[in-house]
Amino acid sequence: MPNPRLASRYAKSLLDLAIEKGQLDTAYEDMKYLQAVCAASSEFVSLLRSPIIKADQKNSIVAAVTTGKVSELTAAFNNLLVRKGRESDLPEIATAFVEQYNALKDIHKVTLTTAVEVSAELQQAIAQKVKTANSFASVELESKIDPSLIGGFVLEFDNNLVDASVVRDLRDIKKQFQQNLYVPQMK
Amino acid sequence: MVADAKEKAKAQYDSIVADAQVAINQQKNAALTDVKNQVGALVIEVAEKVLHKELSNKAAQESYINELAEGVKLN
Repeated sequence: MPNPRLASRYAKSLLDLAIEKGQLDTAYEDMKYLQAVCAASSEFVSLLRSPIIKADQKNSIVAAVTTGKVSELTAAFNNLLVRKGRESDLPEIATAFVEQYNALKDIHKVTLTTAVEVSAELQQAIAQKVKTANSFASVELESKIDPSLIGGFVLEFDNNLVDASVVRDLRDIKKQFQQNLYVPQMK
Repeated sequence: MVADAKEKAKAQYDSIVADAQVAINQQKNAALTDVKNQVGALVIEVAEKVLHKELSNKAAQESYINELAEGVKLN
């Protein structure tokens, strides 16, 4: 069962340990890597969550997947998780760690959704605009494609949403044509 | 006596006509709004198709996004 509170505690302890050892950035890279692995392979996640597979098997599989890709610290952390039977929360821990790292480094995640793929320069330009307008220290840009927007873009950052898409304009106009004040609404 | 009855009838006639006027106006406005809504829905449908076509190539999209990004307020 995913447990967000547990995930953030484990993530925090790993973060503190990484800071103490001065390996914060490598730990961050490792967690990003684990996140990518979990996103790319649902089998890996099912394996971690499976109650049937034994801990030592899980340990060797995780080690085999991550050997050479992650630092010693992260390998030891993974080992600890498996030993304590918390490996099922690894995906959440990775996500929580990235979030806490971003909060620590004052990195803000910006999600840009467009109707078609746009050039990297344009994406960077928009990210830069967000950065200066809100005086963020740095931003991490994630781009998404949604053809139903027709045109324009949707920006999400820090729980804000800027909707400058064509479909939004159309919807707003459509609303104006939907009611008839001269017909009784109650029946 | 006759004059009295005549006056009464006149008053009644007036009020009936006024009510009818109000009802007619109401109906007329309702019909007009309905037509306006239908036309609006059609126009939006067409506009959507036109916009799809207008923004189908990448250059147009990018210039439009650039234009929007200039004007949008981000904080």
